[in-house]
Formats: sequence, structure tokens, C-alpha cells
Amino acid sequence: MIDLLHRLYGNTGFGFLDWRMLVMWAVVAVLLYLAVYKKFEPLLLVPIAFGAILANLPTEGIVNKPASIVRSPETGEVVYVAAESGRVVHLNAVEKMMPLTVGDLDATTLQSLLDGDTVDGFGTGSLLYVLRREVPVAPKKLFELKINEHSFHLTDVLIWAHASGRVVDSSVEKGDRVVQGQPIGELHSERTGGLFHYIQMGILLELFPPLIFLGVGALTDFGPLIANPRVLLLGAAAQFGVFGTFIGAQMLGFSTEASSAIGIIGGADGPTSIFLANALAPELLAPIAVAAYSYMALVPVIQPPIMRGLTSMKERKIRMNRLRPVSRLEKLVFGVIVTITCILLVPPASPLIGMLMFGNFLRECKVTERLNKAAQNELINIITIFLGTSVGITMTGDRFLRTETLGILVLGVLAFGIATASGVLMAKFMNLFCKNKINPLIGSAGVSAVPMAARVSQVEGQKADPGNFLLMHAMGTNVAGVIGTALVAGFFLTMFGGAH
Amino acid sequence: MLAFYTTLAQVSAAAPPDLPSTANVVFVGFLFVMIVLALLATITSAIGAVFIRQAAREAAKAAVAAQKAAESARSVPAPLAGTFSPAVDPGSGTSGESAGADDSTILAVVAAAVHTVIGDRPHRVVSVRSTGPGWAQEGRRQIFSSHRVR
Repeated sequence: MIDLLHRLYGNTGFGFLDWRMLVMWAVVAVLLYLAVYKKFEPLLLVPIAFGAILANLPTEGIVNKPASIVRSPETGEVVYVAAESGRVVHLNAVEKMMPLTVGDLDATTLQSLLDGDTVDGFGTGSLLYVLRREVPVAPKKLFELKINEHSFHLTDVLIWAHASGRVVDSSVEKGDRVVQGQPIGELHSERTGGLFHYIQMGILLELFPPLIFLGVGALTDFGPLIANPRVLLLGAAAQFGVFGTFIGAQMLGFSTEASSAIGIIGGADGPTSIFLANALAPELLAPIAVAAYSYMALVPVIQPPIMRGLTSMKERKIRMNRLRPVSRLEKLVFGVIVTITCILLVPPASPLIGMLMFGNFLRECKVTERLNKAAQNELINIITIFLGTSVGITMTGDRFLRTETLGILVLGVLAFGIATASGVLMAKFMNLFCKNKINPLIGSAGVSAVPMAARVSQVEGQKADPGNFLLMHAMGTNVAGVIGTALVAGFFLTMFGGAH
Repeated sequence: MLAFYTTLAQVSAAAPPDLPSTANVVFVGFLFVMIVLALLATITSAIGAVFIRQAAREAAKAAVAAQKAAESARSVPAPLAGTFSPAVDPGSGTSGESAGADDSTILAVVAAAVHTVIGDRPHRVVSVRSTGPGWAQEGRRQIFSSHRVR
């Protein structure tokens, strides 16, 4: 009986728990508190938090990848082949970030892994190949590690099995040169992969962010922006938050690609942040998405002190002219022109801008009501569930609890602050020349947290003058910010997304 | 624009994370976004100006049409005024004076409703009559017709 109980315990998930998971439970609790009790972006934070719970439990059949072809992650020379045909691979139930290079492992662990032994935390037979990169490395990194008759550089890349199964084919030998993406072996298993492996494809294949933009377009009235096109400049100015944070991230030692993905948090646009992070720094997707959505939720807390600090009471009381009504035809023409102009200038932004304006066209043409309603409701709701949980499921303890995450969170709040200040200062600058004065409070809505940033402008404006209604003006700035952030994302992809 | 793209390409090609390159990326990127959105603002303003002018022309045309309608209304025979009976519930106890004050409002509302339905086609309201207290009945009819009996 004791033996049976022992076996039963062995099959429970308790043995897989570690301290990181427990810390992540606390992080999840904070996110759920903010979402449920404080009502900060609950539609996104609840799916993210719940995905994070699943990520930090010893689940099975949730995130497992199906056994399939193993491809080379880099171009280089194969220096060790462990994947002999018939080798059995058994990965741990809990997904873990595997070390990338030989230098990340100690000699004993590497020895056991090469022998195909079971290693705590690494499963059984999980290391398949070792690859020497072709790109030159600094001489100080060329330290060698000798194990039996094999010699490895500390920068040699470890190629791990992505799923449990059996090696059925290994098409390379020691000394072969392989190129990035080349098939080098194959794993087979009867199991077909977990639910979230397939749902996450929506992020990896960059489907969800454009689909969210379709819904956002269908929900957005561009009328206030068309009636007062000057506010496009406020949306542009707020993008300085992105570039300011880009500098900060570079200073902290992040790579150029990672800095771009971190900087875009300042755009306050969740789907764009996910889109760019997935393209340029997929390893940072979880902290970037969490920072973007958490700070978007905290817009009413972050922005007001900056807005008040940069404006005088007189400026906050400025009443703006009533916006003219915009006809349906004008809105349709605007949509088509924005699509053509932006895509011609920044082709990588086409998935975002194209879908945003398509959604808006469905709304404004008034002859596709069913499609418009589907985009506004069912589609965006379903995608939000998938997107939120897919982001949450990447928040495993070993990925999230790193110093980089702390850096990203600090840079994220900095990004929001700079973006808010840039928008306000731009409005003040424009007031030096414009006859029709702009209330600088609407400048802060240039961060594209729609419609929360616009609401903050309205609330702050009414604190100064209860009879002042800034909401529609701020909505114009807000949607200008959405277009601006998509353009910045396109700019970064043009610059650094060569292999995208 | 070609020169601008050349600059972009140069920045792209030389993108090591040193400070001058970072400053280049920031400068070019921010300038790029400002220029694109300024361009969009200009195009939108230009299109807006066309629509505003067109709207002004239509408003002027409508004003002329309204003036003509008013003139022709003045020439309508006197008995027509007698055909109007205020759509005020007689049971509401509205006195003659206040009912008279409401009449013009009701006429305006009815005329606007008719215009909304008929559109810009030429029309003239010649008679406004109360059809009796049928609203409750209409409400009940709508409620019943909204449920399908299976």
C-alpha cells in the first residue's frame, strides 16, 4: 500500500514544483487583483494571468509541442551528434528554458547529457546535437571544454529535442556544415501536441495582433481625427517615448532588436508590442507584453501627475473649438488614403495598418453591418482570449524571473512617462503658432491606450474646468497615436528585422 | 524621398549598439514618423477643405430651397391653418396658450421627421393631425410582434 501511495505521489505534480513557480503564483495574484478588484484592463489581464497560472503548474497536454523535424537554429558545423536513430527522448512535464550554449552548462551535466542519461530538469536524451557557429566570436570566448575525446567551445550551440518521442532520422554527421533552418533530424511520437501549442501559433505566425487591429478599426471612429488633423502631430510627438526608451534599453545593454521591442511599450499598444517583440525579440515576449498591458492599465495613475506638472491651470482650462461633423464619404476616403500612404512608406507595417483601416472601412461603409459587428464583438473577443492566454502561458518562472524583466518593467514605465510628456509638450509648442489653441492635456492621449488615455485627458480637463469637454479631441489624438505606433513598429522592422 | 530611404538604409546597415548609431536611429526614426504623420495631416486637411466647401455649397442650396418653401408656404390658402389640430393629448389639461406655444415645436419636429424619411425630395407638410392616443396600442403591437410563437 505504501508503495502504491509512493507511486501515486510520483505521478502527481508536487515533485515538479520549484520556487520560481511559487513566486510566479504571487505575480499572478497581483495581476488578478489589479484586474478583478481594481478593474485595470480586466479583459486582457485576466486571460494573461490565467495563462500564467497554467504556465507555472506541472501541466500536461497544454503546451507540449508535437514531435516533428528538428531544424538547425544557426549556420555552422556539427561538432557532436547524440541523436542516433532509435534514441528515446523524454522531456519533463514542465516546460523549461534550456541553456543555449555549452558555456551555460557545467562539465558533469554536459557529460551526462551527451551520454543520453536522465538529468534532473533536462529529462532523458534531450540533447541531440552540438553546433559550432560560423560567425566569428571574440577570442576570450573561445575557451575549450574537453569531455572524453570531444572538444567544445563555450559558445557552441546546444540543439535540444522539442518534444518527447523517438529519434527516427538523423541526417547529419560530425563535421557536416549545416545552414540555419536545415532539417537535421526527426522525432516521432503518437502524441500530437498540447492545446496552447496550437493557439500560440497565432502569435508566432503573427496572426493575432493584426486581427485585433481589425476589431480595433471596427470599433474606432476616426471622425475626431479627420475633423482636426493637427492632432496627428501630437500622436507623432508621443512616439518619442518609444525612441527615448530605445536609448535607455541600449544603455542597459540590450541588443538593438530587443531595445526596439522594449521601446515600443511606450506606444502603449499591446498588439503592436506583441507583434514587434515576436519579430525582433521573441525571448522577451512575455515581459514586454505584461509590461505593455499592465502600464496601459495604469495609465490613469501614471499620466495625471506628468500632465499637471507640465501645464499651467490656464492651459488646462483652454476650450477647444467644436469639431465639425465628418461625412461618411470623407471617412472612407481617409481610410483608403491612410492605407495607401502608410503601406507605401512603411511596408512592414502593412499587417497592422491594413487590418486597422479594413476594420474601419467595414464600420464606415454602412453596408457590411454583419461583418462590422463580427469584427467589433465575436472576432476581437475570441482573439483577445487566445492572445491573452498565449502571452500568459509564456510567463514561466525561469523566463520571467530574470534581471532583464526588472529592466523591462522599469523601462516600460519610463517609456509611458516620456510619451505622455512628449505629447503634452508638443501641444504647448503648437500653441506658440496656432490661432486655434490646443488644450495641452489632449497631447497625453498620443499614447495609443484607446480609449483610456483620452478619458484621462477628459477627466483632468474637467478638474480644471468642469464645463470643458475634451474627450472627442483627445480621441483624435488617441487614434493618431495608434497609427503612429504602428508606423514606428514598421520603422523598427525595416531597420532591424532583416530576417523577418 | 529616395535620399531619405538611403539614409534609412545606411542606418540599417550600421546598427551596432554604440551611442552615435543609437542617436542616428532615434533621430531618423522620430523624424520619419513626424514627417509621415505630418504628410497625412496635410492630405487630410486638403481633403477636409474640399468636403467643407462642398458642405457649404449644399448648405447654401438648402437655405435657398428653405427660403423658397417658406415663400410658397406663405401663399398657401388660409383654411390650411385650420386643418392643423395640435397633437397634444386633450386629457393632459394643456391650456390653450401653452398648447399654442407647443404647436410650432411640434410642427418643427414633424417636419424634421418627414424630411428624415423622405430626404431631399421636394415636399411640403400641408396638414398635421393627431390620430388619437394610439401609442400604447402601437407599443403593445411591437412587443407582441417581437416574439415569435412556436
